[in-house]
Amino acid sequence: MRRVMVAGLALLALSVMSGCKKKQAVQYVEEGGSQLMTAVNVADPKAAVQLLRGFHDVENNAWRWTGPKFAVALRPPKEIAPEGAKLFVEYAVPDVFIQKVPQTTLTIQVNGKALDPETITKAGSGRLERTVPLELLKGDVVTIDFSLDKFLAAGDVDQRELGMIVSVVGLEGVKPPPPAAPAK
Amino acid sequence: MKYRAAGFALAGVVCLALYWPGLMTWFSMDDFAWLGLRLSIASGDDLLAALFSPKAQGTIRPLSERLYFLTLEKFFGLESLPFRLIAFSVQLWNLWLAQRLVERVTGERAAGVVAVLLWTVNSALALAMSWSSAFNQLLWPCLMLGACHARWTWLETGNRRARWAEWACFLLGFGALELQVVYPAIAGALTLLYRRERWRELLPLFAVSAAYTAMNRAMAKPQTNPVYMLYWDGGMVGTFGTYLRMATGMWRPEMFRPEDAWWVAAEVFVGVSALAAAGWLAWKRERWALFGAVWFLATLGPILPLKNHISDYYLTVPVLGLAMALGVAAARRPVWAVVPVLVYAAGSGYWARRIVDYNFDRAEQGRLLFAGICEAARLHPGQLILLTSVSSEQYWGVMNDNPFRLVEGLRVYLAPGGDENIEKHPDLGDPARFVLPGPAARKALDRGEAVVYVPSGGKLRNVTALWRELAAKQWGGELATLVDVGQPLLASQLISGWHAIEQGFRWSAGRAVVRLGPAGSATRLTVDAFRGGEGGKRGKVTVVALANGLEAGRWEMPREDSALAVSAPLPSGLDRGAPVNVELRIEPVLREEGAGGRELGLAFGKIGLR
Repeated sequence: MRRVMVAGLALLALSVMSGCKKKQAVQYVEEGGSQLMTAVNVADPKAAVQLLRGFHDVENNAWRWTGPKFAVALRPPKEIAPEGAKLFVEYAVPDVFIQKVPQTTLTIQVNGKALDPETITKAGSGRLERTVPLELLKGDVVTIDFSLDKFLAAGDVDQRELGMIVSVVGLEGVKPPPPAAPAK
Repeated sequence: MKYRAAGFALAGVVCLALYWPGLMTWFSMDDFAWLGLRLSIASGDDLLAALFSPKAQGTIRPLSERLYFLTLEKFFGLESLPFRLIAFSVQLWNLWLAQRLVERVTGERAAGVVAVLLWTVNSALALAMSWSSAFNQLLWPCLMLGACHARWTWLETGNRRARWAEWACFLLGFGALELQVVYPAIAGALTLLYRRERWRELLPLFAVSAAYTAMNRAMAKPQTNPVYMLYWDGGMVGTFGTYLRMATGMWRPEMFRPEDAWWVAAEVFVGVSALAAAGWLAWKRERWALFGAVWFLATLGPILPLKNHISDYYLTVPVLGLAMALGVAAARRPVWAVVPVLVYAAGSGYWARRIVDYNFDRAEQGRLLFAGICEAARLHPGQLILLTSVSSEQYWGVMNDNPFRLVEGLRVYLAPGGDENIEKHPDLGDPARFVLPGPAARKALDRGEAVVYVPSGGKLRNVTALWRELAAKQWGGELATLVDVGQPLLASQLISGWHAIEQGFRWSAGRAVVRLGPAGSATRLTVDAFRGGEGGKRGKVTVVALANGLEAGRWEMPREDSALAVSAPLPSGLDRGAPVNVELRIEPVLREEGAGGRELGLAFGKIGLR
C-alpha cells in the first residue's frame, strides 16, 4: 500500500512537471508614434495609449473598472457634422454599486469645457451620448475628462476606488447614412 | 540506505516538480528593498547597521535576509537564479534533515519519507518556494532541524560536541528568524518525551530565548500600523482556527476558490482524516505525535496575535510539525491513509502550484516592465521616463520598492494622474510619491528631457508625442503643488534659502521657502528630509513649517534618526485658492568649514500638498 501512495505522489509530480513555465522572450519597447483612434475599446492593449488615467486593469477581456476620475484621449473624426460630433460611452453600473451609492453624477469635460452631466440612479448597462461642439474638436487630439461625485471608496468592495464599468469610449462624426431599402 | 536514498529522491522530485516555476521566478515587492540595501552602505559602520539594525517590526534576520541579498546582489546583480538555487538547495536539505529526524527518533524509515512528502505538497510552502524575501521560512527550519538532530545525538550518546552543534544551530537560528525563540520549547518536548532526566540542560536555552525576546521587544518601535499590531485577546482563538483550516493546504481566507461542494467535501475529508489519525496516535500514546503537535503550536503561537495579518507564509514551518506527526500514522496504517493522503496531495498540491504559477507570472510581468524601462533608458539616455496606465499589479509588484535606484542614471516617474488607478494600500506605501507633477512633466516634455511610455500587452509603448501635446494643453504655466527640490525641473518654484542640487536632494539653509500651487482640496503638507552624513555634529534637530505664514507643522528629529518623512494638516485659515509659500525653519544649523562655508539646515527631497 505504501507503494500505491508513493506511486500516486510520483504521478502527481510528473503531471505538474508537464506544466513547466518558460520565461517570455519579448521585444521590450515599441517606439514610434501610435495612430490615435476616434473610439477605443478599453480592453484592447493598443488602446491603452489613449487611456490617460483612472482606468483599472482589463477584466474578462472586455471592460475596465474606472476610478472616480478618468480620462481618455481621442482623435477627432475626419468628417464632423456642423452641429458637432457625438461623444458616446458604453458603460455598466453593477447592483453592488447602486446598493452602496444610490445616486452619482458623472461630469464630462472635453478639452476643459463641460458638457451636460449624467445622473446615474439605476444598475444596468447603458450608452451615454453627448454632442460635442465643433469648436472643441480642433487639433489632432481631444482630451475627455470624466468625474463621478460619488463612488465606491477603497475597501468598500476591494482595495480600489471604483467608479463605473466602461467598455467603449468614442467620437462619431457624422451620422452614417440610413441603410438602403431592400430591392424588391 | 537504498530505501532512505530512494525516499529522499522521491521527496526531492516531488518538490522540484511542484515548485519548478519558483526556481525561475524573478524578484518582486520586498525583494527590491533588500536588493537596495547595498546603496545604504558607505562605511564599516553602515555595514553593521545594514546587517543588524532592527526594522520597524523589530525584525533583524541578518542571515536569511540581509546577508542573503547583500552577498548575492553583489555578485549576481539582478539575476534571480542564484537566489532561487540557494533557496531550493536549502529546502532539499530541509527535506533530508526532516526525513532523517523522523527516522532516527521513531526508528521508522517510511514515516520519515511520508512526513516530508506531506510537508512538501502543502500549499503553505508555495510562497517560500517562489519569493526570495521568504527565504527566512526555509533557512529557519534548516537551523531548527539541525539543532534537533544535534540534541537527539546528545540525548542518545551524551556527546558534548553534539551539544555545541546544537548551540551553534540555535544561535544561528536567531539570524534567520526571530521566532527562533521558540526552539527551547521544541528541544524541551524532545527531551521530556524521550530523556526526561536531562531537563535541567534546557534552562540555558530558555534563558537565551528570554533575553533575546526582551532585547527584541526593546528595540522594536511602537507599532502603529494596524496590520502588524499584536492583539493579545480572545481573537487569537479565531486566528488559530483559521490557521488550522489553512493547514489542509486547500483553503485560505482570500482564496478565490470555486465554491463547489466537492472542494469543501475534500477539505472536510482531509481534516476529519487528520483528526482521526491524531486520535489514533493519542490512543497509541505515540510520543512522536506529541512532539509534532508541540512543533506546530510552538512555531505558530507567536503569530496568533497578528490577527490582521493572516498569511499562509506563516504556516510554512508549523505544518512540518503536523506532517511529522501524521507521517507516522500514515506509514503505520497505509491502507487507511492512502485515500486521504492522495486527496490531500492532489488538493493541496494543486493550490501550491497555482500559487507558484501566480507568483511566477506576477514576477515575470515585473521583469518585463523593468527590462522595458532599462531598454527605454538606453534608447533615451539621460531622459526622465514617465509611465502612464501602470496597473496595480505592476505598481505593487515592482515600483513600490523602487528597483530603479539599482540602475545608475535611471529616473522613473508615474505620469501626472498615474496613481489614480492604483489600488490603495496605505500600510505598504503611497503611489503618489512617484508621480511627477503636471507642470514639471510639461517642462520636461517641452525641453525634450522626458519620454512617456505605456506598459501594455507585455511591452512598453512610446506615447511621448501624444503626451507632449496633452501636457501643453493641460499644464500651461501653473504652479505644481508637489516639488521635488532635488530635481531641476521646478527650480523656478524655489524662492530662497536653497543650495545647489546634489545627488537627488538639495540642502537648505536654516530658513528656506518654496512656492507651491493653490491647496484646492489638498488636506496635508508633506515633507521629506535627511540629515546627510554629518557625523553626529548635531543632536536633535527641530523643523518648523509655515504655510503662508501660518504654522502647519513642527517636528523633532532625534540624533539617531537620519530621515524625516512627515505630514501635517494644513492650517484652517489658509486661502485654498491662492499659491502657498511654504517656509521651513531648521534649528540648529550646521556651518561648513572654511571661508564662505554654507549654512546647512537639512537635505530636502519632496515638499508638497496632498
